[in-house]
Parts: sequence; C-alpha cells; structure tokens
Amino acid sequence: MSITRADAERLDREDPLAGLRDRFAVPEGIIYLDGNSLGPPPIAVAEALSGFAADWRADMIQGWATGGWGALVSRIGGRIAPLIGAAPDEVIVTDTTSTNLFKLMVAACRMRPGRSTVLIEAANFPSDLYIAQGVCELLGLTLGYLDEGAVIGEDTALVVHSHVDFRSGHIADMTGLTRRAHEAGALMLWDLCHSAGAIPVDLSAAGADFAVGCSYKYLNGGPGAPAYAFVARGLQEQVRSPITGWGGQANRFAMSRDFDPAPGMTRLQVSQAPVIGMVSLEAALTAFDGIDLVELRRKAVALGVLFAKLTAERLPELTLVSPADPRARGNQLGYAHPKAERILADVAGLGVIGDFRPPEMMRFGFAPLYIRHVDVYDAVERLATVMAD
Amino acid sequence: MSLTRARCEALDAADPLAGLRDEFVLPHGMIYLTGNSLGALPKAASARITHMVEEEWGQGLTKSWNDAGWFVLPRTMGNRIAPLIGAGQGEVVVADTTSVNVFKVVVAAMRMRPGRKTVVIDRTNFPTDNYMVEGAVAAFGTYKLRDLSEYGSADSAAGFAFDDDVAVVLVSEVDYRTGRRYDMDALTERAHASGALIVWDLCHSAGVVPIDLNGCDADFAVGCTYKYLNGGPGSPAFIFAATRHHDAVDQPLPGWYSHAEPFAMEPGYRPTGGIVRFLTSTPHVISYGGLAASLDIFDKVDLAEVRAKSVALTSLFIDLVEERCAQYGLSLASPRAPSDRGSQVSFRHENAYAITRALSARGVQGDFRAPDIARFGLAPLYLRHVDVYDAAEILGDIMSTGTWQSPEYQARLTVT
Repeated sequence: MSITRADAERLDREDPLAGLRDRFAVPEGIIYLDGNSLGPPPIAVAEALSGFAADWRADMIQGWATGGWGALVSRIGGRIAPLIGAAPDEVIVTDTTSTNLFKLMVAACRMRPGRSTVLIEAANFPSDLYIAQGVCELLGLTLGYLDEGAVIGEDTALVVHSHVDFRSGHIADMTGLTRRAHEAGALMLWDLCHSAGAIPVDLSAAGADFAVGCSYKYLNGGPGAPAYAFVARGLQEQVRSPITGWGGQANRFAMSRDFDPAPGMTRLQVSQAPVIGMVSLEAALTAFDGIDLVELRRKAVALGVLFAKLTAERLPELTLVSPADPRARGNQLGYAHPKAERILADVAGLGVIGDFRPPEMMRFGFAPLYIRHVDVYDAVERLATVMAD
Repeated sequence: MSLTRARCEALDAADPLAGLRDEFVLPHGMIYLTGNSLGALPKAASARITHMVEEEWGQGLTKSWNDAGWFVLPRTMGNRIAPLIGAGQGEVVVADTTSVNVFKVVVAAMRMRPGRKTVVIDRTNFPTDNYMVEGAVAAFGTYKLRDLSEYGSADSAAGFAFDDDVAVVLVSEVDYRTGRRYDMDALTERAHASGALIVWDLCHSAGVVPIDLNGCDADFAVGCTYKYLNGGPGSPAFIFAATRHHDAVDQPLPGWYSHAEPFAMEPGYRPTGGIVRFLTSTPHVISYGGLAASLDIFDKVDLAEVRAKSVALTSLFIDLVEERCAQYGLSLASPRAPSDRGSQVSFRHENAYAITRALSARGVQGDFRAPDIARFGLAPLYLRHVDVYDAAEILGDIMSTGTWQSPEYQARLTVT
C-alpha cells in the first residue's frame, strides 16, 4: 500500500523531534536535502554574531583575554566531544579538516618509526587522499589502498578511514577496523566529516586513536567553519605535530626561542583562532542541546527509509548506490542516473536541493534536526515531476 | 622646543586621512595603541557579516559557493590585497593562518632548492615563524637551521652574505618587538646572490608600510590580515608567490582546493596552476566578512599618505615620550631613523609589564612583549596626533608619579 502525503503529515505530528526545526533558519519554499554538505544556519548563530562587534571591541580592550579565544577553543571542543564519544579534553577545534589530517597523520607515523606504509581507501574523500599522498611524499612512506588489495600488516604505521563514505553513505565498521589495525600494531585515524552529528559515534568504545572532522555539515557551523581533531588521551603526550605554531606552544607569551609543545590537545593548535568562526560554531552547536543522538538517528533512518521506499515505487529508473540496509548507511542516499546532473538542476528549480557527485550520482542528505517527513514526500513528488518531463 | 597639544590639534585639522577615523568603531575613553596586534573594527563589518550569515548562508545555502562567490574568496580577496603589497593580480591568495602559510611556503621553497640543506631564520623573528621552520625541518630530517646573524649584521642588510648551501631565508620585514624594518631590496638581493629563495613575513607591515614585493623581486611572502589590515580577530592570512615560481610549487598540504579539477573527485592529486596551488581546503567564509569591510576602506586610501602619517605619529610619540620620561629608565628600543622602523614604537624598561598595565588603567592600550618591552602600535587610519600627545602625557605622569609600582599592576594576565 502506498504512502500518502497525509501519512507523512501524520508522521510529522507524531515526531517528538519536530520542534527542533524551529532552531534553524531554513529558507521558505526550499526542501534542503544537502545538509550533508552544508548545514543551514541555526537561529542562534545570527544572535551570537550580532554580539560579535561587542566581542571584537572586548578583544581590543583586553588584548584577546576576555573575548576569551583561548577559552572558546576548549569550550567548543567540549561541546563536540559528546557527539563523537570523546572526553572534552580529547577534542580541539582548529584549522581545517585537511590541515588537521596532515598534523595527525605525520604525528601518527612518527609514533611508529620503522613502519613504512600508510593505508587508506581509494574511495575516501579525495582531499584526504591528497593529504595522505602529501604526507607520504614528505616522510618517504608508501601509501596503500585498502579497497585495492592492500592488507594491514606489520609494516603498517597508520590506517586512515572515513566513518561514513561521502558518496554512498556506507558506514564503516569502526570497532572492527580499529581492532584489526591495533592487532597489527598500527594506529587508526577516523574521518568523521559525514558521520558526526548524523549518527551516534563512539570513538572511545571503538578504541580509536585519532579522528578529524568538519563542523559545517551535520554540525551546522557555517561555510568552512573550523574543524576539529581528536586524540585518545593516552596518546596525547606522544603527539609531535609537524605544524608547530605559537598556538601550540607551552607558554605562548614567553616568546621563547624553541618550540615546547603544550600539554594535551592544545599542542595541535597552530595559531590564532578565527574568532568569528568559533563564535558562530559555538552558537550553532547549541542546536544539539538536550538531544538524544539515538533518537535523532532513529528519525534519520525513518526519513531515509521513507525516501528510499517512495523512490523505489515511483522512480525505479534511479539506481540506489547506498547500502539497502538502513543500518549500514549514514543519513544520506546516493542514486545513480546517467542524467543525474540535469535532474538535480531541474529539481532545484522546484526548490529541492540535493547535490551531484561525478560521474553520475545524485546525493540527498536527511538531517533529522530540520527535515520533515512531508519534505521527503514532496521531494520525491518533485523529482517525479521533473523526470516525467 | 616642546610640542603642544594645540599644535597636535592643528596637525589633525590638516590631516588628509583624518576622516577615516569615522569608518571605525573605537572603544570609548580609550587610546588604542594596539592596532599592530588587533586592528580596530570597521563600522561596516557587522552588517557585512550579518548579510553573509542571513542571506548568503541562510537563503543561498550551497548555491552561495557560486552565487555569492564563496568558492573563489581566497582568490578575490588575494587580488584585493595585492596592490597593498606590490603584488600582481593572481599572485596572492587569502586562506588559513599565517603559521600554516609559513609552513606551506617554506617547505615549497625548500623543495625548489634540492641539494641545499640550510634554512636561515632570524632568531629575533616572531617565534611561531621559527617554530614552523623547526617543524618543517624535523619533517624533512636532513636540514640545518642557521640564524641570520651568522651571515652578517642586521645594521646593514647589504652586509649579509649567504653561502651556497642556503635554500631558504625567512625574515619579517618589520620586527614585532622593536618595529625595526629590514631593507627588503637589499636582503632579497643578498639571498638571490647566493642562489637562495627568500620568504618575507609581512604581518607587521602590510597595510601600513608601502611594500613592493615585485619591485624588490621577492620570491614568497606571507602575512596576517587582522593587524593593520583590520580583518578581525583571527581573520584568514595571505600568501604571495611570484608568478615565475608558480609552476615549481610543490606544497606539503595538497588538498582538494588546489586540485586541477576539484569537483572531479579524482583519487590522485593533480595540482592546479597559479597561486591557487597553495590552497588546501574549504575556506572559512564568514571570516572574510570583516576583511572585506576593511578592504573597502583601503580602496579609498593612498598608502604613501598612510606611511607619511605613520612616520609623523611615531616620530611625535618618540619625541614626546623622551622629553617626559628619559630620566625614568625608558629607553627607545625602536630605530630612531623613521625609514628603519614600521608603525610601532617600543621602549625598554625592566618594569615594562607593570607600566603597560598602569597605562591600560588610565585608558592607554599598549602591550607588553617579553622580557622588557612596552609596545605601542600607531595605526594611522584611526589614530590622531592628539591621541599620541595624550598617551605620552599619561605615560609621563605614570612614570613621574611612580603609579606603575602599585601591586595590582604586577601580576601577569593570561594574554599579554
């Protein structure tokens, strides 16, 4: 029996998380299924930034002290920590995902001297691959690809993997892969860009060593918002970042000649934090206040299942690229179609925003904080309209 | 003969840049002499940032990468900074932080001089520059670091002579402690004479000293945008590379942003051409808002006029302070010749920290740099001659009455 729009409306009425949509400024008339690429602005961001001028003046007056950029950095890390199964002192917000990946990869490889191989998946987000290629070039190591036959072994220094694949949404076995890396004596680094804030992540339970992630997808921190890095507490004192800046110095204002890494995660900070970015991000993360991530995930799964079901019924010419089992995929669905790019452009004209990944994939993200069941229903309707033409 | 406050008022009345002060938000009741650390807030910045959040991000969402020009912000902002530093269009990008940019540029430069195994740093430089080089050298493993002073005297840039093992020289044009300014022409020429490349850090000169990177044949430069460029706390930094080097750049942080086809999502890195090759990843869009507002002000300004006022203000401050404070142990740490200094004046005193705290309590905001320097940045876009006069008066009063000795000014704050 087919699902009707009335059914979708009923699901929204029964949705305990429905009120969370009010925490966001979602544009009128837009069904935004691209939150996996860039989250919309939480209302709290504009409010926080309206106070930004006052912050800047406070910084002028107090020379950075009370505007409190140092405190901001650790506070925001503490806000992200519970979303990824980390302790507050295991997370720092700084720089970009790629830069953090570079720092942690070099640090990890240095912790495994004598081992000459780094492993990654060729299907990983390309920037991760490029950074890995850069690290291996710099350190004279070999880069191997897990999905092209490379095997974790005694020569493996580090394994780098995305928790959720950016194209298909496939969820990797975080616990299993971390264990395999550790059994071989290698370290494990997770990229959480497409999972943090979307699905429950538990780095500590998985025994992960390192992680990086961005804050502008499901965490809604704003375009290019500062990224974060995680290091398991027991490893932090061994971390030697190659990007040794003033921000990571033990006593910044002593202006001493030699670099002496600060204790804990602070050593991974390089320089002055971008205050506007930090203020926006801190405000954005309040959208997660009081939310049970398991419940959030349950809604996301329901949205994805609904979209997949409606699509299978009405648009059989779209081929599902994501895992069919909803437990095996993140909060996004990828479909292949030879005219994917054209279809996306047309449906955007009807207010439905997804995105295109070459060569022929359309990707739709279902961010449960602000997407309703009727949005999913209407999105499929409009796709059907476009594809009927 | 002593300069009077009335004379300073007359100088302000005749100042062609005086009107620019109205473009900034300045704290009430404060003489802000820390514009060399964090520039003042342009009045237009708040509205610009709000527009970016509510319209570009809120309404445009991912479309704004194209429609609002987000994707190309590092380039468009670079092109706006270029004329301020003597660079051409397509030679500057704005992204990341100064430190990360130092790392990228220095490693790229080291790779352009294979076989040469020395990197020259300046131990008087801002420490993070040197930490960056230490980090880069440690990653490579086979380089040695040497100090600029081993190659000659800082008193005469022409006196430096590098050997043929030197791959890269990294120096700041203007010293963060003393305001001492190197001769970029001479030092660049000395580096090139030995076959080395030179990287200029312009943090303490961009936006206040006219810089001519191409005129002096510089190879690379980096700098921050939140000091004299007023971009806001932690706004993104810039990189300059001379066009002749673009094709040779192999930087250590190759991300998708500098891929030849960033949206092709190819598994192998293929660098794009031009200055964009120095980019790594998605820029923090909103952080460009304050900088954009500030650069609108610079569009109306002739840097030669800014420099002339800067020289006038720093000279005035030195004269007034020396007149009032010579007997209290304050000694000038900045070069006396205006051509040899940037836009700041520093004085040494064994109690410099307490003195800056006492000044702050009286509404004069300078800052302290270890071990014994009181530092005063004189940003000509928003400071008046009377501000300089009043600051010197208050400093003179604090020194003559000894109020700086009060216990409350002795304990260190987190950020100095």
